[in-house]
Amino acid sequence: MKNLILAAALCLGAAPASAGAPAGAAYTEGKYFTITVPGGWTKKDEGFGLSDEEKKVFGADFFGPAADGLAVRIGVHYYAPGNLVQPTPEKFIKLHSQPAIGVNVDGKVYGKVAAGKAGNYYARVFERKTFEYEPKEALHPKKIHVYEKFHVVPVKNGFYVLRYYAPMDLAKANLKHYQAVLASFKPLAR
Amino acid sequence: MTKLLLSLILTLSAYPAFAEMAAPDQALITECADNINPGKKLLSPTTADKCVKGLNAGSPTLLTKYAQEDPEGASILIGDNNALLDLKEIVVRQGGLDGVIALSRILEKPDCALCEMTLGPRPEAIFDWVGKYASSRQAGLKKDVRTWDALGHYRMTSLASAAYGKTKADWNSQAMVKRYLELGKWAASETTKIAAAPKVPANFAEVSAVLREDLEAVDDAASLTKLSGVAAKAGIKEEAPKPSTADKKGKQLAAAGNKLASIDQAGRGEYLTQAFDGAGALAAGALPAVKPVAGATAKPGTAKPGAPITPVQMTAAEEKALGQAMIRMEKGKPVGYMADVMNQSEAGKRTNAFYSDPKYAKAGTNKLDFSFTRSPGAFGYWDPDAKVVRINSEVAEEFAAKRGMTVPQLMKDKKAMQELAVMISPVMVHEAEHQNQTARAVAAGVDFKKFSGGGSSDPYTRAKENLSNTESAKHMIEYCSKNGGPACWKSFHPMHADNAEKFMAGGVEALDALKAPLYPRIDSFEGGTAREFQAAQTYAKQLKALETLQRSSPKTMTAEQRQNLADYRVLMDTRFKWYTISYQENSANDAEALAFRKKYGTAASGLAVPTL
Repeated sequence: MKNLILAAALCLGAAPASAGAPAGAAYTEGKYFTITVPGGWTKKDEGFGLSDEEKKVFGADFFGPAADGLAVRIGVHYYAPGNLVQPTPEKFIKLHSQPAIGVNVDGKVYGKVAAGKAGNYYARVFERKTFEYEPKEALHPKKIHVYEKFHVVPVKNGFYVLRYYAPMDLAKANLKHYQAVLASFKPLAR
Repeated sequence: MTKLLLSLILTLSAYPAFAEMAAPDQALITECADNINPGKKLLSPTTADKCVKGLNAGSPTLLTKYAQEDPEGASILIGDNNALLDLKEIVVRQGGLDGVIALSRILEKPDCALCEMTLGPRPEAIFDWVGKYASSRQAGLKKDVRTWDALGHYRMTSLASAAYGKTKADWNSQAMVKRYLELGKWAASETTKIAAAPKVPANFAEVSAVLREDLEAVDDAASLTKLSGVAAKAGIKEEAPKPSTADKKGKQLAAAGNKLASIDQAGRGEYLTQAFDGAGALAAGALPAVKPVAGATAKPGTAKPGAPITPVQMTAAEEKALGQAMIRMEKGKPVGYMADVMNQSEAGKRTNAFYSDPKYAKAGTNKLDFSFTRSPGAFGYWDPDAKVVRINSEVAEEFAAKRGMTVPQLMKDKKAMQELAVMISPVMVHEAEHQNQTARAVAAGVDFKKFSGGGSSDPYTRAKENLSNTESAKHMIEYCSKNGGPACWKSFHPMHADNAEKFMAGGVEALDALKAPLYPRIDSFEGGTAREFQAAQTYAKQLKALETLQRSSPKTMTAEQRQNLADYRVLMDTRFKWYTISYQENSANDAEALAFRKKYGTAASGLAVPTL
């Protein structure tokens, strides 16, 4: 049922992959992967904290249009063996495909984990509907609805995560960009 | 500034230590100086990222070494490259009025580092840069900042008419907030004209949409009603206004603009702290009516036992008594319901231990002053000037009312008091971490107010929020792991549980990356760095002049000049020390958080995941 709600909300699968998406540019993340980035979308690096090399997680986030102060985001990351963030694809899936704290406290919606593909590569796919709260630390914050979709691609050494994050108002219109990134995805570390 | 940059580049080689640096270090510093030189037309955020990382590498860091030789050059180098990173983040991640508030904060307020690179103070100055480095944002940004060319035909034609007499040059010379306010006035005036006209304009739907947007931005309810009246009278069915944040944002925008413009550098931290915690409305003074909780209609004394009632306001004495019952100092240690709750997690224990720490007691930086106070809209806050932690009284009043009680009745119910203590404990851990941050800064000798009177302080940036959010998330996760697991999470506000969930799934990075756009009024660490080093340029120039004198003719220096040299050196060293400590503290926090997640993470699900 939850899957149906998400699918109905976004009419997933209605559009063929990359239909209507503007021409993108090729992007290579070191020796880890290549993708085609949607035209006009912008890469943003993290400013501080542990470096990618320290975490052993390599990748990039690309930002598109924004609503409610939140930008649509597509992230592609490679989690190397021994990385400090998510040790295994199973753990990543467990922490993101259901409430990471073990209980759903605010009516978030989690879809089922299913088999799928990212480009030509087998993936575990799931989606979820979560929230951001604004203003921060207010007594009665407003809930901003957010749609997310994940493709987790395990490889012999490590795994990849492709992630789509969008305020609900912009989720449907920009899903084609995520599908285009998926279609172009080529893992280099295997 | 261009002159200053040229001077920076020309004098790089004049410093003995620069000449002695390894070739890669020299090359990096030169590249970073070129990057912030407007004449070179680079201003690249990618190079800025490389510079910030490179300058923070090594032990001591390259920045520390360089700052000892050329504090002025080093401060410009690190400040301006951080400013470019900050601009990129805001432009890329934030849109709409939140983005405007954030841009206003970095472009139109004092100590604008970007303006020194010709990127400001008006937003039009960044359009080409945005086109080069964040092209997808250019069109939306022009509309958001209400630049003349993106106002649209209807607004432009009307504003340029004799009735308003606006020109492009005049319009674009205004601050962003002022543009929104001007459009609000214009829309009100046009609405009045349309309402008085015998006929509704043929293009009413288009006109109405534009006017509505401008009226909502300034929360002009009277004009909006008038506009809807015109539509109804003409039998035009308007699209039902969707529950928008625009009106609220507009108010915030205007309030933020006015407030920030009126306060000085020293007061900004406090204001921003309160703005973050939602307590900005404190300044309004008046007490708003307490809203009943959903489904609560019964007045006190008339409801069935345990049924929700309308919240009853506490008296000042009750606020104090409830605060004392939650946490107070006895025999040098925090005690009370909330102290007990915090003793069940490492993060909470650290909070309790902080208030008992004799190291901080000597400096007077760890005094516990906790209470409840009326603070409309906020959940709770740390006030760095008054040095108090406060929870909004409404939190306790609503908590009690949901259980059919007043706060005095609640205070006689041990179980309910324990539950309240659990609910507010993450806020206490969060805000006490802010107090702890100040105490640590003072202990480390970071004193931004030295020589100018007042207490010690260090800049308030979002990096501090990351640390506080991490501590409160860790507290909740550990507490629930020991107290019932899933069921325990209902004890917390969903917003706080969501912080813990994001932290658990993705660590500190997830907290910052996902939540950063929602803090438009608070400087990021990069933005705060840019602001602080820009503000310090007066000291840096004086120091440079005195150091040059010391190098060229030390014997001619007077005693006063020697003292000034030492004092200015302390002021600059303080800023570099603050920056390096904060940068490294955030890396350490990242590492500790990852270790914590590993310890408390849920077990692997055992899902069968096919590999390639």
